[in-house]
Amino acid sequence: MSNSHTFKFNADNFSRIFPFYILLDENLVISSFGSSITKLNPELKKGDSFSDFFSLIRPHTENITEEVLVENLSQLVILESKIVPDLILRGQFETMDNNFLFVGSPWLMSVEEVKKRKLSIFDFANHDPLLDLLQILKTQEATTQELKELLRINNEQKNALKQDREELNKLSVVASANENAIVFTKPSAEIFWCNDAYLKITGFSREEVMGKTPIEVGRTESTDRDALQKMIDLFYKGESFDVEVTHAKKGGGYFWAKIKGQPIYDDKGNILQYFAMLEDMSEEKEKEEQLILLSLIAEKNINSVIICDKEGRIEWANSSFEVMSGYKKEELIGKKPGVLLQGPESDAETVTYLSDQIKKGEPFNCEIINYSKDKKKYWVRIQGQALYNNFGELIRFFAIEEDITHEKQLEKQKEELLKSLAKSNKELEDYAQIVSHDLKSPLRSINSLVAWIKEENEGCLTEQTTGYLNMIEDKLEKMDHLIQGVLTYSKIDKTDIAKENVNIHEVVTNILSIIHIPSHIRVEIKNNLPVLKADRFRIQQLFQNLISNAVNYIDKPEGFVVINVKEAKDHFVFSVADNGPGIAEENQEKIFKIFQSFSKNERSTGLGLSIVKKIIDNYGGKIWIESELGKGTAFYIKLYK
Amino acid sequence: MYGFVNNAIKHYVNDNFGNQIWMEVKQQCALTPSFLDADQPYNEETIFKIAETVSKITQIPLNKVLEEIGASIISTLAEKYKFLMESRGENLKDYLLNLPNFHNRIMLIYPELTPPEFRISNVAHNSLHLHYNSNREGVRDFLKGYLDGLVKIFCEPAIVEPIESPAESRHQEVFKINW
Repeated sequence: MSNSHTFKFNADNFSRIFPFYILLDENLVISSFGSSITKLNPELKKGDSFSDFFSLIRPHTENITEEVLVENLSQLVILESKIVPDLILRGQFETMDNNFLFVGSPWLMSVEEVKKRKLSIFDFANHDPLLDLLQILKTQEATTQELKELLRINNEQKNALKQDREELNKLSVVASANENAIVFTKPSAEIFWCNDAYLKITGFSREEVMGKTPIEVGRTESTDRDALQKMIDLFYKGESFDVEVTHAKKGGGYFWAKIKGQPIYDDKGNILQYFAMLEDMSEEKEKEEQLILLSLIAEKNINSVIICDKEGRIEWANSSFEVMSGYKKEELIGKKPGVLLQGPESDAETVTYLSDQIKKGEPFNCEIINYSKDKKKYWVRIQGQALYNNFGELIRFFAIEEDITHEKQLEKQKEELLKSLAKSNKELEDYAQIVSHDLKSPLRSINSLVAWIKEENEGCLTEQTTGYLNMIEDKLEKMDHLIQGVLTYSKIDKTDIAKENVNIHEVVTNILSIIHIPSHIRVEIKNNLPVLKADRFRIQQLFQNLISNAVNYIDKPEGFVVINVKEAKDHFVFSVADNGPGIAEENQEKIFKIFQSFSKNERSTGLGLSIVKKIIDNYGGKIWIESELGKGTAFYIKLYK
Repeated sequence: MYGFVNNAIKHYVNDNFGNQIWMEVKQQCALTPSFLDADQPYNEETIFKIAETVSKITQIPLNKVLEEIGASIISTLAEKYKFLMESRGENLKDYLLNLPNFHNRIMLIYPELTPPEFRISNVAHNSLHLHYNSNREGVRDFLKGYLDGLVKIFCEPAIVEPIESPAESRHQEVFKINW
């Protein structure tokens, strides 16, 4: 039906419907155009060749010909202006008689472009939705812009949130893994979070602390009430606090904790929660207490104690030092002790030694004369050393000084006493020698006289007289022994302990060969006797006296003497045992005393065992006996190696 | 919307060779993460680069890959953008006749995109010529796949055969479609 209609328009009303139409004749020359097309292309006029003004870009054609147009009649065509930059027309070609009619409109991308092309609403047909679509596009663009802005803000917030979350995660790890105990409480003080360190330090389980207040968990008998109250007050005032209190441990006991707390506020300044960190201070407290104790020891020490800086200047002195030196602490601090206390009689070498050791940072130990503030001289023994820090750097010196003035006086007295004693001893020895010598001389004369009397009156003397004379000679001999003994005894002194290696076995064997041993007595050395550091002559005197005594006093028809030794860790115990008459118990103590003889033997001087005892005493040894009357005696001698 | 070509290529590689090969292709072609976004323009160059890479990795001849990509674009379109296909013609002939039109419209709507340029000629009752302007080697294989795909979608007994290109300054591939 519609095909039967014929549409007839004149140029004006056709232009109202298609204001951008262009009509071409069969030669593609412009024969008519719409009212708006010249706004776009003012140079366009009738009679111009269409292809001078436009090229066909879609479907692409190098030259616009009649054939091309016919081929593309059913197609959307896109024309590009050859004159006006970037001007695109979009439309289609239709045939009209022998003519080609282009209907279409400019392709505009924005409302702004409408204005740029100097077009207005009146240039578009009312049915053409292009301007309205551009308006919609404009609105859409604005919306898109807004959306993009929202997206940007959204992304920014997302990133910020992500950063916050990461920060929170980090903080949470820091809090969880912190060595110090951390608790979070609600504003009502109930714990709602704590880290593992808190549980480890306190020994409680998470269930045991959750929902309780830190006070309920941590209070102990010993917790300082005032400190606790201070903490509670600050907490409820919403302020931060920092206290040191004892905190309970599960199952009794406590630890010293430094508790730092602070409130966390929201944007409006309301307290959201409380954050508290507990540091286990037990070790520090212990050190502090130790330090107090050490300070007390230093302060209350009966000896003087001073602490100097690394240059040797006094930093601290205790009361004893004040008393000893006569200076007050204020007068001492900053001074070098040597400069302040040494004086004319302080030994120069010791002064140098002290300053050298301090320079080297090495310990020192010496005795020196110091002078108090009122110039009173006193002796001190100084013991001191440098103190180093953890990095091995010298930081201080400390010294303990002991007043040894009294000790020094006693030492001097003792020295004088010893000197006078040595002198007395010498005098006594000289006296004994002189006396012995002088006594021996008349003895020898008497002996000679008796011999002459006996010689000259041989055969004339009665038996009784001869008996008397023999008795005189015996007594003279005993007298001579006695004098010799006194002489020997007096000569034993400490200077004789000169030490050489003495083979005691050799010495004893030699003794056995020089003393007279009656045939009914057997003497035996049971073990090999050792080598000792001693004086050979004194060792011979010792053993000769003991062995002679044993041999001389044996009263049995078959006598024996046994010499033996037993070794201990640091000494030997020698023994000389016989089967002689034995010594009564009451006499056992006395036999070592000088001139004590309990023998009926005429030759006994009572000096032999005194000499033995004196020698053993000189060597720091010991002698004792075991004896039974009628059975025998054993002498034991302990001598150190 | 025009990101569907890129998506079609991804589906082709994923469905036929697996995700690992797709990751490899993505890396070798340096495709940006936004490659698959709906508003990403596609271009011939990218399609060919991907095809070459797939061929190199899978050892499948390039012409075969191009043909399959062409076919996969149509099958993806039919599957996921049915409304688009339906708006472009009820039968194969209408669809082909419209092909230059809607690609030209795309050019106007998306100035930053250079869509494929089609032209129709020699329209007869049971045949027509489809021109595709491109001087890229291998485009023929791609188009063959594309057109065969279309024939398949419309279930029409059409025959697609390449014919000699007319002697014009711009190279074009021409196919004759017969019913």
